[in-house]
Amino acid sequence: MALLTIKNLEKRYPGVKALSDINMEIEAGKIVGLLGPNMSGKTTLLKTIAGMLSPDSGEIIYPNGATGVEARQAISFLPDNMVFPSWMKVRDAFRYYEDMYPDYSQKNAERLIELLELPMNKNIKKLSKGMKERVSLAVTFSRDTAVYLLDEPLGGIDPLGKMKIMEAILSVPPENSSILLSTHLVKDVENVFDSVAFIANGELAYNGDCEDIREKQGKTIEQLYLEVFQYVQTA
Amino acid sequence: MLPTENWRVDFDGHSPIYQQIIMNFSRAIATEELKPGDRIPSIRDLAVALKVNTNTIQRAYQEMERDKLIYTQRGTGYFIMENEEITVKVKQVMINQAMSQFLEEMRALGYSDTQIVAELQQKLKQGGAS
Repeated sequence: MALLTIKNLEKRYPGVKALSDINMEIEAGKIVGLLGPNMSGKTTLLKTIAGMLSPDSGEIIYPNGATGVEARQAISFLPDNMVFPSWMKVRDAFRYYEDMYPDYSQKNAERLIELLELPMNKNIKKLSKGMKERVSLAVTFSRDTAVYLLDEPLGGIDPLGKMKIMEAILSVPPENSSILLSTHLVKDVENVFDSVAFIANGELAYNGDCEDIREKQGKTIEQLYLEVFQYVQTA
Repeated sequence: MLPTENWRVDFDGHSPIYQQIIMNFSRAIATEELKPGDRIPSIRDLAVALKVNTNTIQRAYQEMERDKLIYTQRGTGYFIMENEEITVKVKQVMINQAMSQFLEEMRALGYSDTQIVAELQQKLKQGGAS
């Protein structure tokens, strides 16, 4: 049974169709890669699922049929650029999450702080881009939720940071939770995905199981990605 | 963290990763780097060590369990099958695979069986590997 179902989803911005006819099912315990060039609609899709944008038509069915606030609480969202108040130290960000979310897990937080080697007493504003991204991912995963939406968690991160973030993705979230992760760095993370969805100009261009792609087409995910997007005119 | 010291962590990406993981285990069993009764990493630990999806490792372990290469003991983990013949058996399977692949390629190049044998003898005389 799907944990999250997206049906005929459409989203328009004035004058542009940002998403059209998106249909997807995300099963429990799966990591799904949302892949596409910049501006293809990945962020809009994630924000719509997170409930920060409302769809113009179509439907999103949340875990256990939850709606409204309850549905939003089943989701932990890492936006492309998480904004922290300028006074906040890393320690304060975790306190904030602890106060805000009843599903905050001290166990997750401790594991992430150690794994990602977070400087707890430093001001977040003064951190490098890579370290700030680690902090953002850590607070996102400090919650025990059914669904995690990660928008470009690997952008601008050094190779060691990438390894650590992948380790966190593979080891911290509860076993039955699902992760939808958007990226354009296909090669770096393709082994982490169960399946991939390619988004081009707001439409689902491809959706398939990774091991099937390797087995039946004899291709890496990156090769298939390049093939699919080679012929797509980006807006 | 990894099952053996010489474990290959790079995948070729063109064939299913679960099959490549099984191949790695088979090689380690054939060379006795993993011996009957040895404990292997938990699914999650190996997923983290290899930076590979947990379900992929699970599938590899399921297939190896089905093929009687490993067994699980509830609560304590996964182990190499405690059967002294396993090393010989796995080695035989791997030799068969390597031979079939070699023969397939030589035949695809248009060599007859007699020519293949001649080429092989020539190569062995020169000392083997390229």
